[in-house]
Amino acid sequence: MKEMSKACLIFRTEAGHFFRNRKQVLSTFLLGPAIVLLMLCLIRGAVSDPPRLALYGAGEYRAALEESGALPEYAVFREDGADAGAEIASGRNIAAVRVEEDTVRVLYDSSLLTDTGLLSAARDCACRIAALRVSAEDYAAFAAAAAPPALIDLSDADDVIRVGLIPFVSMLFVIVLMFTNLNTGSLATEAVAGERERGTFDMLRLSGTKVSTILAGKLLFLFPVTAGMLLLDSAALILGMRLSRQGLYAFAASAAAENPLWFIPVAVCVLGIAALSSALYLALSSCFAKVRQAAAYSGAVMLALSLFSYAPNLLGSEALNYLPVSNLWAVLGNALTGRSALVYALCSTLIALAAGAVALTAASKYLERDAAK
Amino acid sequence: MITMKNLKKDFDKGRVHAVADVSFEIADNEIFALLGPNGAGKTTTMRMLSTLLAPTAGEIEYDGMPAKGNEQAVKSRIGFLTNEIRLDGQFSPNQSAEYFGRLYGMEKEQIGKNRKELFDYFGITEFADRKYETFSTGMKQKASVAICMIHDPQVVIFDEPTNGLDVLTQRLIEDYILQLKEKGKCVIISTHLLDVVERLADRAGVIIDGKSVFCGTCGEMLEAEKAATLSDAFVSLYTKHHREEPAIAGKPAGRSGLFRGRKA
Repeated sequence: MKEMSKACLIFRTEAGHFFRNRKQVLSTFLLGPAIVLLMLCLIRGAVSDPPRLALYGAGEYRAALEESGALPEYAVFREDGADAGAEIASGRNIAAVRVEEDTVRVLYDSSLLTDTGLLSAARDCACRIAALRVSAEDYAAFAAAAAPPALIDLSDADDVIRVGLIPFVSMLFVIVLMFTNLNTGSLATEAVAGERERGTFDMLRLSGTKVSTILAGKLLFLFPVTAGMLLLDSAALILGMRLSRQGLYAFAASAAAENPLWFIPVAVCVLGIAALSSALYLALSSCFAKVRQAAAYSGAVMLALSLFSYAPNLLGSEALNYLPVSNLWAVLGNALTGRSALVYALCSTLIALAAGAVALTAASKYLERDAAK
Repeated sequence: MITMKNLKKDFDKGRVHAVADVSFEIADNEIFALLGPNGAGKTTTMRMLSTLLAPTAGEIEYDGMPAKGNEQAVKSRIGFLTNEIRLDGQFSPNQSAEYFGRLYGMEKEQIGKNRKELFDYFGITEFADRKYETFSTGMKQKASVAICMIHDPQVVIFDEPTNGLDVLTQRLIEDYILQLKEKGKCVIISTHLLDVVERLADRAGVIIDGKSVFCGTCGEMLEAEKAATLSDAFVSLYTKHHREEPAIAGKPAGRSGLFRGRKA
């Protein structure tokens, strides 16, 4: 029997086994979306009207600044900031940034915003963010001294969609890290470490099936399940954003609605994430002969990845700013492409696929060696 | 004919010698029992025989064909049941038989024929669609034997096949082993139950501290050790060949049988 047929047989058996367990199916596919919706509802209460990304507010303060010709080079104000000047004075819901050669410098940051808007702007400009909190007086001094700005009109539809879509795509990583990884890690642990613990992995090997074929069969099963989970989670996310009608979320949703092809980068991301998660957790599970060990390490890796993915936010802004999602792939993708959501997604996915392939190949070799030594 | 020559297996980068020097010859149409205290190296030897483990040194030949380099050919001839196997509780015997039969490259008809024969013999036909998690220990073991034998292997290796089973199930499996011999198959069993050895085995090999110290019939063992019972003969062999060792990990010296392998 050819190895490909054997891999397909393992895939069919795993899939049949999985779908026969109704509780497992329900928890895998429905728990994530339910928690996403719940999370968005909770966020709605936690965040009071996060500002939308726009170049300037429309209020008197902007007019005054324009008249004085002392605007910062770039600034992020509330789009509806008719009283932006008053808000700057009161230190609420406002942020100002200055774009330097390779850095977006946060000049004034007084809100929970610090900020997907800023991060998106930074990504858009392919540059880093340096946080610098200044007082309203310092800002006023800066504004008075700054050179006239080069205006970028973010009310332009293309820019809005682009800037809105990136955090929207990035939001998927929250789902991956928090739910998909849990489920995928659990399934992968059972698929390899479970088989090894029960001794049935030896039975598979005795049937003349190569280790790489066994892993390929397991991956064939794990990949579509993970992708399915992600798609459902994404659907829940979109639904949640539409329902929430909250600043950033509604903005991202409306940006997605304006761009009929929004799902292409999202789908590309989903496939890449699913492939990486499946391969990574299968590889991890292959390193252990006990389910408990494999589960513990899978959990640790999931936490480490989550923390790592939040690092840019935590370093670039206030710790309270847990809502916007940046991550390793976004950073890498942006570093390489900078702008287009699709190119960024493609790039991220290619990196993910390569990493997954390397992890799985290494796991296969490790298992061969570990079993024979 | 299976030939093992000076088999050696080290673990943990040579720090633990699981098998030091094992040599046996096992004929077709024979039931061969591997005896030895816990940790003597029986299971490791069996795993090497099945090609699941690669020997550190030594050779294994199947009818003159070296196992090394011919692992796939050897595996297709072997049915190996370890006492560690616990079939996935969510599967049923029918599903397992179909799954492993297909992996062995068998046709559906052949799988069906073998399955019926085995399930009928072990009395699991009426439970064949039930999940293993609903089975008793004895039923699980019977199912495990049936699944391991689904491809009708020429060489059958059973590691403690009757451990923890009630008398009836034990007898059923013993009778099955005898039937395998009648069919001309080579059966290798590992067990601590000496009465099982007396009833089933044509010959026995004794492994102590990773070394083969005796190979012959039960009668020859009694005669060689001048013992009245197989148990006495085994204890005599153990006393004669067991090497006193320094304590490991706080355990008293000279009780290597309690450990898996010996420290170098």
